[in-house]
Amino acid sequence: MTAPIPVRSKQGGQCHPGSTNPSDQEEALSREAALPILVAAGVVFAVGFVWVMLVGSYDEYAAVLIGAGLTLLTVPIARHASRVEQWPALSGVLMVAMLLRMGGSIARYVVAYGTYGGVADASTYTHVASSHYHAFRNFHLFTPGTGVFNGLVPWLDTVIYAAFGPTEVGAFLIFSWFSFVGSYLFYRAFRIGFPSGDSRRYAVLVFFLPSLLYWPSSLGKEAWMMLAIGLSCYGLARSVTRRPGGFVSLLAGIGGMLLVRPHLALIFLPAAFFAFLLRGIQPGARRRPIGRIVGIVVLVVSSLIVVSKAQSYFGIKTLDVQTVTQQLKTTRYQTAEGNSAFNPPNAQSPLGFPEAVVTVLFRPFPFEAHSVTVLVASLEGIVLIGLTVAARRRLARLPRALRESPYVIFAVLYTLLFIFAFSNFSNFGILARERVQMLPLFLVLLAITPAAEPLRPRIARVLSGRPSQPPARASAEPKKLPRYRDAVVNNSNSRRVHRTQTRYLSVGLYRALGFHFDVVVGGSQTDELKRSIEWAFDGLVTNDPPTHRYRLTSFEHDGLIRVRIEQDGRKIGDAVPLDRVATILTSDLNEKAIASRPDKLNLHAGAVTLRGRAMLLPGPSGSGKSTLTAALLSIGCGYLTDEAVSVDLETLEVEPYQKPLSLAPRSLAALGHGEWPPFDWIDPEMVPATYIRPSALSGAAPVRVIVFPKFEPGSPTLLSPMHRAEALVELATNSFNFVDHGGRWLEPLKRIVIASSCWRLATGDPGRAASLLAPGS
Amino acid sequence: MTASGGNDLPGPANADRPVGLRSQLIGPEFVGVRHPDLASVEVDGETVLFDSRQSRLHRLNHTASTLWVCLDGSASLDEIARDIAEVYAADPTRVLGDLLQVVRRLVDEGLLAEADANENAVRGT
Repeated sequence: MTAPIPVRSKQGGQCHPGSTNPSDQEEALSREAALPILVAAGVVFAVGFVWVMLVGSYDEYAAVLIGAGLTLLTVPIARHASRVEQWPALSGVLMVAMLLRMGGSIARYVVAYGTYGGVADASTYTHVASSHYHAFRNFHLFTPGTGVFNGLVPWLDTVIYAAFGPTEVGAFLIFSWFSFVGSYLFYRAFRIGFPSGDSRRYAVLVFFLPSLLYWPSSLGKEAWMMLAIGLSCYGLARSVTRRPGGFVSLLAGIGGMLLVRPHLALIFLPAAFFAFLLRGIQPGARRRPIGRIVGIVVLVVSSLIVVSKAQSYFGIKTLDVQTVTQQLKTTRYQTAEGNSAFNPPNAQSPLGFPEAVVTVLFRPFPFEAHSVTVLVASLEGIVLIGLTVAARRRLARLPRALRESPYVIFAVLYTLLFIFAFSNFSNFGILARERVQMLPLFLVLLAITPAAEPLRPRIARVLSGRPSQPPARASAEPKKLPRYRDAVVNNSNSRRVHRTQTRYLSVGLYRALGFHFDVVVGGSQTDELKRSIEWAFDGLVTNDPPTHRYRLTSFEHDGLIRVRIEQDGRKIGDAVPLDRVATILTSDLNEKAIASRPDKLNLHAGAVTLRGRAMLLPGPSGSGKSTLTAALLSIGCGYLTDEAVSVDLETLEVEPYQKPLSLAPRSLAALGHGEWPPFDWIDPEMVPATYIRPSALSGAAPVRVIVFPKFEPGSPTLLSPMHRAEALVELATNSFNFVDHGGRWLEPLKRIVIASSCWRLATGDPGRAASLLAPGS
Repeated sequence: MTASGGNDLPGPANADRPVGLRSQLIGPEFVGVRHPDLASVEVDGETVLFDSRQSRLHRLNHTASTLWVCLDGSASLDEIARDIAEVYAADPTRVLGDLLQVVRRLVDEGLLAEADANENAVRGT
């Protein structure tokens, strides 16, 4: 257990309340450790810079300064990303990815001028930039031959020369940085557009795949296209998930593509159009016709511009099947040169398309390589084949992912269209370079979360709106209640809907500690109610037959949707707004759950697990235990409960009661889940643990750490050890049923505190507090 | 040497505290006895008391816990103070002063009764 260990006195067994606060120690250590590193980095940079100035040219030492500037520019971006994503290691991942791209950029430069003797596109751009940057410095930005619309890359290169002087290596680094930003935008698009995907796997793939580190890290079109496609994907992901600013980013990205490679926009737009159309049929989607109309107009207008630009780019009058076919043939002919030429498959035939898929994604194979560069590309092809085969369980869940996320639909369509278009390239060297414009979207498919995580299917089912599958033992007759599904019953208890026949639909079987129940829903909003309950009570699903029933009846009242909630015929809520149903139901459920375990110690506490052991977070309402629980889940702890802990006094084990967490939306936002709620039919203050982290649910675990949290806005995070006697008193004070058992439970309580380390926590920053309580999670 | 104030627990509580012994009259000759309705547990040298009559918890620090053990109705405060002073090599007069403070508080909280008047104290008369 990496949870804090109390400082013990020489006499042993006692915590010292006056010991130094660990968080202060950590901060001080962090500052002390960082200072020498920064000083050393500064010295190394200064010495290196002076050395380059002495032995190198302006090109090189200007590049050193540009590299340092780009690194410093990336630091706040990486820190911001880490904070937004609630993934502390992300800043390090991004910095390493950026530095590797800088390395890739140097490698590209060396290969271009060392191996190929400067026969590369970059030298053409450099020639233009060298000739015109003096004019640019006099603000003659559109001299003949350097117009933006005649060639964005040489124009940008000239701007770089005008700003920093003639430094080709520096231009390589800046373009490489463009591709890094593009990769980050791909990552953000994945997180937004496919939130249930395996984001960490995707991050590793998109930031560290050798092709993506090498090919776009150059003064060339690939770097810009990575930025433009990344921005387009980011905008699309925001648009299909109804986030603000999506269309602006989408248009900017498409514009960026149009200026360099309009045919890529021609591939992007149909895929995006289809994904955008499908967002309207996503389950739970808000119906916003204006947004839909705006989106369609944006995409149609973009398509017209792209078609026009593509016609101009290819020098054709009309873009139809015949001219496209002719253009593909031309491409095949034009690229069939050099040692790496090969005979491409015919993607237009049904039998040829699978071969085209293999060719564009994985070829050349090692035995087809005739140069070092192509050999390296072939080795990566083998790695990609291995990754794809290893991801077969992930790919098996592609249909589910397609139903869940329009962004995945887009990724699949884009990949297929790209394969169709680029399978006509008949040179492996060109193909390996060009396919980096497709790989980030193919990698989306390799980062689908596999089925091993037990709760994801249920969430996906809720998201997909499909009817729930009856649990394996659901056919067992309930002990007390009649089993009915889609049964027509007389809803005589409801005043507002009396004399009507309401059709009720079973949502599922659930267990809250010892309280077994099912939920049936009916009325005008049956589907929304069903999905809302399935979403919120995902952690309480059981196969055990119920002994109690909640019946939810929706109806219209004064033009508003309201819900009547009954438990075994007893009314517990009338005219409840749809988005408050889970809160009311959970509140009632808490009482039932606690009452169902009279022989266990029931505490008003949150509880999480860390490496098989339970950490209790007792405290009254408002102490921040739910927010702290959520923060601990975010960094990898397992979820037991956030409200009612039930401890077996013999084994000291905490029984899971995995209700939805009671969190204010601002608490979620503070933890980096700022896009809450994802759907308008859910209760915004009831957050399933699996939303915070898909594999968060944990089994029973023995108590080993007790932390009494107190949230104070703006307070520094202070963790202080407690005397166990004090902890015992606090535990009893936060117990629901200690008084019922009185003195007989003093000894069991003693066993709990003796088995645990006991702490008091004051914090204004739950995220930081969580990192302190569960370091290294 | 301290005895912490009581922690009120959720649940039914009897608001009527046992009254009958005026704590300010307690002197060195006082012979105290723990109230029989109290449950206690020792944790790492400290003692936690649970008063079921009032649903309250009390926490005694290490020294108060030592005193609590001695309050068995067989010795006066003066005798207990001399024993404690001997064990801790302290000034008996000062120890007695501390003991009187703690005992008076324990009596006020209804946790301690006078040995001879124990039955009356329990009845709250």
